[in-house]
Amino acid sequence: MRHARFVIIILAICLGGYAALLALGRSSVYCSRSKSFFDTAPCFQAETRGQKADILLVGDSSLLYGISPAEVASAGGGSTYNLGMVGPSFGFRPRNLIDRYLARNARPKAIILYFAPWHLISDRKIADPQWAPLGVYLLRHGSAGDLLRFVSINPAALVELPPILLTGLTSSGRKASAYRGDLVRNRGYLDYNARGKVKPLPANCSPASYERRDPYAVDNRAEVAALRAHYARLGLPVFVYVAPIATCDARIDEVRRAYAGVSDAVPQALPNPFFADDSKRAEHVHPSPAGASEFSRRLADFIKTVVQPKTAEPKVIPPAS
Amino acid sequence: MIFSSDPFIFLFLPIAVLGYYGLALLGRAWAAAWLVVMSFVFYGYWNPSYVLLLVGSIAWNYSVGALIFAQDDTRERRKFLLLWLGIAGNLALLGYYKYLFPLIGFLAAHHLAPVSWETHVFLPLGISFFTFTQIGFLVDSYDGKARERDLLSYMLFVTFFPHLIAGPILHNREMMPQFSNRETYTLKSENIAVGLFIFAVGLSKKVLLADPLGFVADRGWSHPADLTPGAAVLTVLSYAMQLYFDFSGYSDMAIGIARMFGVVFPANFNSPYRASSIVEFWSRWHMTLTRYLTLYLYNPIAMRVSRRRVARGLAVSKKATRNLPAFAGLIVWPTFFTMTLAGIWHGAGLQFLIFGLLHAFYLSVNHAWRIFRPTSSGQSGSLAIGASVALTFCCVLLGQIFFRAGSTSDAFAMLASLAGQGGGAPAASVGGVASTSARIIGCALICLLMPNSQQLTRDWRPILEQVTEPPFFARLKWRPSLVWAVVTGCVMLTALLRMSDTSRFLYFQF
Repeated sequence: MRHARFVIIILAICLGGYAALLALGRSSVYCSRSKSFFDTAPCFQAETRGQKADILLVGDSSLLYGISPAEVASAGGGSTYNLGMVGPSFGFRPRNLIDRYLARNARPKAIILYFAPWHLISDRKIADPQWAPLGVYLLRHGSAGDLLRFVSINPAALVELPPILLTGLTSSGRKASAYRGDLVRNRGYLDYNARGKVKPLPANCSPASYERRDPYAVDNRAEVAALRAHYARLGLPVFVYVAPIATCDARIDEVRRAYAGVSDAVPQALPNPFFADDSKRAEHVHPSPAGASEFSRRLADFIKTVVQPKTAEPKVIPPAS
Repeated sequence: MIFSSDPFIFLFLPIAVLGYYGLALLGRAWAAAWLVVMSFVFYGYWNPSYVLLLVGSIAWNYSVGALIFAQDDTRERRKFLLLWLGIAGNLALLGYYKYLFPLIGFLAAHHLAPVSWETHVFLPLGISFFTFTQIGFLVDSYDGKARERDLLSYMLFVTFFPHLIAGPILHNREMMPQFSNRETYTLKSENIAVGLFIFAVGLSKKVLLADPLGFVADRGWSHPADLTPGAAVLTVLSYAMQLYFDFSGYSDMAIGIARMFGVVFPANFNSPYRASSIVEFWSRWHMTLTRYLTLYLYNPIAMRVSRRRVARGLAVSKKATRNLPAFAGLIVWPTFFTMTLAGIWHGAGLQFLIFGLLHAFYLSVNHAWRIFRPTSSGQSGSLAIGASVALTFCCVLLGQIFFRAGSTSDAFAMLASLAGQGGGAPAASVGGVASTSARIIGCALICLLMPNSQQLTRDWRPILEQVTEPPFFARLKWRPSLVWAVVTGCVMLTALLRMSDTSRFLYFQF
């Protein structure tokens, strides 16, 4: 009996510890104390209030760090708000994020989905541990249904998320909440250099490093279409813009083929030095200091040529005198 | 699948334990079969295609063992041929996966082979362990010592997942009777509690002690020629602690998991850094490998030498070894042969050969000291013991430099850095000096002063052997009390939550 009690106490402590961390993540305590730079967006983007923008940009880290609304405006792209997140998962987070934004801010004229080519995928394709930011986001801002759906798709998250939360709480560095002011001030854009100097991708990087990357199969055309249809009913057109990739990745043709009929702009490969050399997995999509300006300018061009003509207020033609 | 991973702890292990005791209600064979299946799942999780290799190895060895067993005593020569056929099959498998391609690469690099052979053959996990285990079975079948012929017990003996990947190297005589004993399959809360405690100790050794120092060691070893002496010392000491806590942590986990299934394993570590001589070190470090090498390599060679000496009318007694030629024949030669093979067993590289030769030299010197030293120096005070422990540890450290190095040039580069001939990368470049030093000192104190896992649980038969009393904190004993449960639970929770950074176990590569 004493042995059975011993085993039960150990199991209870372990399970209780995991449950306590998940509960902490659900409260505001985690977000206010996390020291992970990468928790900034999952914790605070959904709390955006009182903003006014013509175009709402929604996407992944290629948007969060790559598109500065100030630069877009100065390049003639009008007013935008950057609702960039971290990590993949197209499936349902954009809807959750957009709806929260619409409920707390002025209504935009259009939405642009801005994702790296390998992130516009359905939830079922998320490889661990890439779902971690989504887990943090949903734990804090998702409904019980969202969480249940997330756990049913990623059951491992139940045991993998608590250690991630603990790491966020115990790692060293600035708190994620310290970047919240930057986030609001820069209209959702987070300077990728803020956490330390970013090295640009060398011009001579090897395309071979991309060989093991998953194919750029867009497997959720139906979900994109459903999202477009949903917001069209609310009078909000949705555009898809695939983030530029480095020329180092020799598969731009594959990206273009995969996104034909989905993306409203032809995906581009840009010179390597526009990208940060920050990933062991060869996902060079975050900008170098020079990259954010270039990407923002290109998005502004897209807005001017494709989005604005379709969202412009019909001009009142004065009656012929 | 590694023991310190979420899929193993939260999914595989609970399913394996529940299924085992559930099926044990239907009968021993069901539970044993379940364990075999789960062991294949465990092995196949890494690379399913290599399950066939494991199955083939088992089929080969069991068949050859059965053939040897079937021969009557008049067919000694046939038995002998069968034994060597079986061993050759095992060595061919090991040679192909572990040594062939590195050897070709080595020869090509030294212009001794016409062409390098590019290959994508990966070393199957645990191949050295399951091959050695089965060679032992064949030898015991030949000697008539392996009498258990039950195929299910044999499969379980080879595949039982707690030891499959990195040992302990089991002996059929101590395992197969346990697997055929009905009592093993009876659910006892004592087995679960003791097993869980030992597993928690092993997990925390791996995650909380070994891995943080592993980052420091890896950083230093990534550029061994560039280090200042301070950085080199931190690197070498970090690796010494990482290696011990990693491998002994793994062994504790294996012993704990086996105990959850009612199976008792032999000890694999017994506080080796407390050893006051190299001979004692090897009786405390990777004990099942030492036992295996002694049983199947050292003893047969020493016996052969002894027989030759007897045939020539020479003495073979202990006293006879005081004569230098006899010492060389009876001790130095078997030691060098055994340790050379032990070195190569760890990997196909010149650095492993040097590691083996170095330890052969140490052991020979140690034996010589025991035999040839003046008898008056037999008494040892605590100061002398402390000096012996320190000297032994320094010798072990030197060996570990070759053991860890990616090549001999890396090993010599590290030695040069230790001697102040390296580059200028300061200690801070490999890790925080204060925090790393504190970790190393903390680990050293645990190694030297604290009772080990089997000493803590010595009242509950944690291992097959008799457990020695700890020199310090002798009153510290585990029992299924509330305090022990809370402490174990908290340590285990901390280890589980820190497990995400866990690296593979060092001994998986062998």
